[in-house]
Amino acid sequence: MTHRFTLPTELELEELIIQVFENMTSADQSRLSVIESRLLHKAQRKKEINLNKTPWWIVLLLVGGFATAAWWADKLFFEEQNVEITKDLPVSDGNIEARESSMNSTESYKYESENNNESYEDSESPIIYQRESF
Amino acid sequence: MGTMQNLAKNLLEQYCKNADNTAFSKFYRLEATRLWQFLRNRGCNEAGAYDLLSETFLKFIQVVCKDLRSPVALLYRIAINSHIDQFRRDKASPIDKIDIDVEQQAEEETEFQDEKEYLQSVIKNLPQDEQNLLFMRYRVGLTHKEIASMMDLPEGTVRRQGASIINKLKQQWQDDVNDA
Repeated sequence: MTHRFTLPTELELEELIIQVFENMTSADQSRLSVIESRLLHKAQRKKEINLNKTPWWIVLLLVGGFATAAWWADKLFFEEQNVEITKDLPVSDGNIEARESSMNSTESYKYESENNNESYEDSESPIIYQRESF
Repeated sequence: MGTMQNLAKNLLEQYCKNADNTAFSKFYRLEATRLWQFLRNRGCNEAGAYDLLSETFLKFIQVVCKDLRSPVALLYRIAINSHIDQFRRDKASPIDKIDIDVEQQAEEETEFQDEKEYLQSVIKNLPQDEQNLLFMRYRVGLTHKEIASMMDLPEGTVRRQGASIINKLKQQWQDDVNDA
């Protein structure tokens, strides 16, 4: 390789390098546009997939959370209610039916068995003796 | 050049934060031609360069939002890796090699009329890594730091390599003048 050009300074050489790269053959813009539209389509699809996926996870999480919370709340609420009713109601003949109806199935089963034995004592009640009124 | 890098970064931030496809489109138009030229410079044929460009951008879309520090460097890193993968898959065609040899022989006999034409032929004869470095530095406008992160090299090494290439070009220039 031969030439008749004077040696450039470092800055001039760098400028020449930039020009050499800028003068390289350019890409066909129509082909680049085709690739661009394909890319945008893929980017759009990716976004849609992400949008569709995220709420399902949130919904699943929320539903699970609410279900657990409801189950716990329901259990605690009825347990407390039953204890209160048991404490409040006087142990009398006339009130036994009302007491039975307000209790859940486990409790009512317990009282049914007590009825069969003709015993109205409540083991959890602080009342150990009460005169029955007729 | 630094402003171009900032513009590219801002566009990608818009794309990642607001899912703004227009911003991505602008980034693509900013970088696609240069990336295509880079791939051609690395020895891809014309059609292959388009395929590789498409593949590179597809991979880029999937990872760019994870780290927005130097997206252009990331783009070129993906391009280089994709090109290496493709090269391994396809293997070099012997017909292409003969063409290159003939081309190089023809260049050796030429007396250049234009400084740019001469410099282009000198750059073509540099090793691929050195050509990449020059392209990144003077065409894409990456800083030494960005090139270093892209090539997994210390910044000092990239600086030294850059200076060494410039000296090499100057030496070659001088030698060819003396030959005339």
